[in-house]
Amino acid sequence: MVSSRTFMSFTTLTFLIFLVTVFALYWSLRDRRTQNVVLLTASYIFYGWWDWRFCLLMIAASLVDFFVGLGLNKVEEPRWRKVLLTCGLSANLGMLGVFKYFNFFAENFQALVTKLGWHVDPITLNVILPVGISFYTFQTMSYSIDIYRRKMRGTTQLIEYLAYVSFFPQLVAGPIERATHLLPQFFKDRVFSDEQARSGCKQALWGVFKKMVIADNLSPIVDTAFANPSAYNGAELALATVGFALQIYCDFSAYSDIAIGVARLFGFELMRNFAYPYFSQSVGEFWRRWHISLSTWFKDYVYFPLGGSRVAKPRMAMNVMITFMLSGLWHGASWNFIIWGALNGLGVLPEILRPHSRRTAGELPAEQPSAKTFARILGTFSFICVGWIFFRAGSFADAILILQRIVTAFLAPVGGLLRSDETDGRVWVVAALLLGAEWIKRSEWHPLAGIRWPQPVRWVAYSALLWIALYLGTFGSSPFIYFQF
Amino acid sequence: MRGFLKKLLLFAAIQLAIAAVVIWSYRRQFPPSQHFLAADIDKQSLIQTQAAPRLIFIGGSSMAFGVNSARIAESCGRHPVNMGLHAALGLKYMLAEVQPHLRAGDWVIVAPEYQQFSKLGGNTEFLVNMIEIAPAHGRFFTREQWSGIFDSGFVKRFGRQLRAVAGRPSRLFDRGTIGKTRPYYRRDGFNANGDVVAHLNVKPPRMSEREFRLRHDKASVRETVEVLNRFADVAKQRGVRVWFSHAPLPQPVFDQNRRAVDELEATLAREVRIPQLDRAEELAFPYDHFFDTWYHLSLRGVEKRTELLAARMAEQGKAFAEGSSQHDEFHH
Repeated sequence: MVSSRTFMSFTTLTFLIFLVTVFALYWSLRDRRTQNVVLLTASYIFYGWWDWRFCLLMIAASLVDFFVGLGLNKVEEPRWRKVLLTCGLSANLGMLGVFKYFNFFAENFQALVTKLGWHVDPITLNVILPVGISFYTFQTMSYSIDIYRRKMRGTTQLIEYLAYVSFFPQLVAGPIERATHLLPQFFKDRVFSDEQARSGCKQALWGVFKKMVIADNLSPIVDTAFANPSAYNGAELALATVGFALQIYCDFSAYSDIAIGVARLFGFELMRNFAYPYFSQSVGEFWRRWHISLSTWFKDYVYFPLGGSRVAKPRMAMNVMITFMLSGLWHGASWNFIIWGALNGLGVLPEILRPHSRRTAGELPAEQPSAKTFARILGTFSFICVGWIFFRAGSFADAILILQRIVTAFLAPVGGLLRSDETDGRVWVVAALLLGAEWIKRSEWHPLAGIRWPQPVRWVAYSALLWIALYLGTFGSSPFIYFQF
Repeated sequence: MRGFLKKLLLFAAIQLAIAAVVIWSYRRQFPPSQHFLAADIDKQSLIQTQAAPRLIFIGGSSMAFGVNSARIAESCGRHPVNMGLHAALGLKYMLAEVQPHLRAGDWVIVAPEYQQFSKLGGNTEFLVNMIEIAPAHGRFFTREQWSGIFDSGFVKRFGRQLRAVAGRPSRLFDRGTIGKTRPYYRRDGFNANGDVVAHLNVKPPRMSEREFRLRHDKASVRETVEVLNRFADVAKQRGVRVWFSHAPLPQPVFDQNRRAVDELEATLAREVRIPQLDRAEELAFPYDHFFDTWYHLSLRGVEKRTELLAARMAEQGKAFAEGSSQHDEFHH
């Protein structure tokens, strides 16, 4: 069941009014603690705008780990530390289990026992998935685990801690911040930096442009094709899949850009979440560039505890697969997500298992790519797109049908899908220009960073982005995709 | 900080200045006073002044483009008030703008389009358009509608104005481009009773819409039922009689969606405390009875629907007159 209430989305006038109000109030105060109270209050208003009852859930999730942290500060005996951590993790996972996974497991359990010849009455819960629950529970869990691992001490400052968990710019769809990085920033006095605020505005503007112009305009094409794949030929479905690859990138990375930009307006630095993933030359590299905060979370809190790469190769392969399948499950309670995760795990395996494999994580090629590099980029993108089919398709059968059609009828004419009233061919041109701009500025966090043009020229460019967004934007018809996770 | 704020405000001021030029040009080209939705000002005036006994029609453009209200009202001895305007304003708005003006003895026909069973709050862009034209009509919006307007309505509406102006830069300084708009999509396309009449003698343009999937989820239908029942309760308290009538659909479209329409009709018959005046099936007309969309009727369609509703209302009028005379006899 989906709530009919609306979220306070970043691309609404409501959010702009909210942001200006909180910004003015926040910087009119000199005292750090009062500023934190403003942030905390604003964050709960932001979250409660959708449904105030879920604020209670977030408070509960936060308090559990706050007290676990306090307990871990005091307890030294390993056995009791483990008990405390287990309690904290169970509470968090329990909440996720009830709100996100209960129906999935119940339905699969019922299907399994029915196959075994027993009859079980269906037990499903009619619950609304609280937006952002996967993000903030992972944030609170990492807090407890880091204290358990003695990477940090549990804070005794409740306001700062609650503000860290609920920090509104990244609350609903990340980046998933580690307490070791974000929490200390709440204890530092904030000095307004013109440079930081300017760079925040630029990154947020870039995010708004990607979301409004590309993601939202691709949405009708993608939705139409994936809603009824049997009505389209292989070429059209391939186009829709590429469209979805661009849509989800421009949607999700836009959210991160806006989150990072808005946080900078308040003097906070969030971690980078996307680093031009579609220019990756291997699936492993893709995962070091896509949703970095989640990938590193799974690496640190799942893959390494399972033994990581310090175990025998078969076990290592199993660890990779478990990590990726759990990452798939994190995205949603459906077999398609698990298959998507498994597929990506398989894609990463060759690189992990080969000791001298090429591993790039940091810099993208400085020169223009050679044909070989270009082919690797294209090959990686194609593999990722196959995964996206499972991610986006309504069912496993639909995903297989789409794959079959793409393989068997790829050279058919692309007609019907683009003739729909709701689609706009210009979006492909803008998407191509965006990828070009990203390639040119690949050494920066985003294409608007590090521009050295004279101010009037820069302002013309920023204005152009804004007005193109207003001209081509659909406004409010598609919420951010990752809200559902 | 001062430096940052100064630059930010200057940047914002430049953007606002550009926006002001866009809005100025748009309003010059398409004066709000001549807009299709401006007919709501006339309809509000009509509902406040029309003499009793009245027959009030509620709906979207299917009502505006779909009946000869005078003939139907005449069949039951009443004066017509056709409040039908645009489906995108939403059923909530349609009912809210009529409710304050209900008087004892009024009769009302409510005929919402099928999309009112999936999106009855209206389209925020059209709601903004309405307050541009008639700011006072904002009083008919609910809190949720205002929230939607702030979320997306203003920006969506501005986006449309921008596309209209920037898409034809040669007309930036033109005045009254609205004169080139099709006459039946202007305020003066309506007659004094609130019916669109400008299209009746025009050759229907090709109707491009052929496919239609009636989509309504249970929650939305439940909400529509609640809204209709609340309206029925208020009407009853004020001594007003209300009937429900179905919106017209082309026969092939109706056939495609037969199951969903039947389910919806059964739900309405079971749960809405407003009697149904007709059956959905009776409002399924051939394609040539429609003008330019599924809901807008051509002259033939208007005549057929009018005939049907007039006959039903005549029966109601007769029954009412007999009831009144029996009532009078009883009192005497």
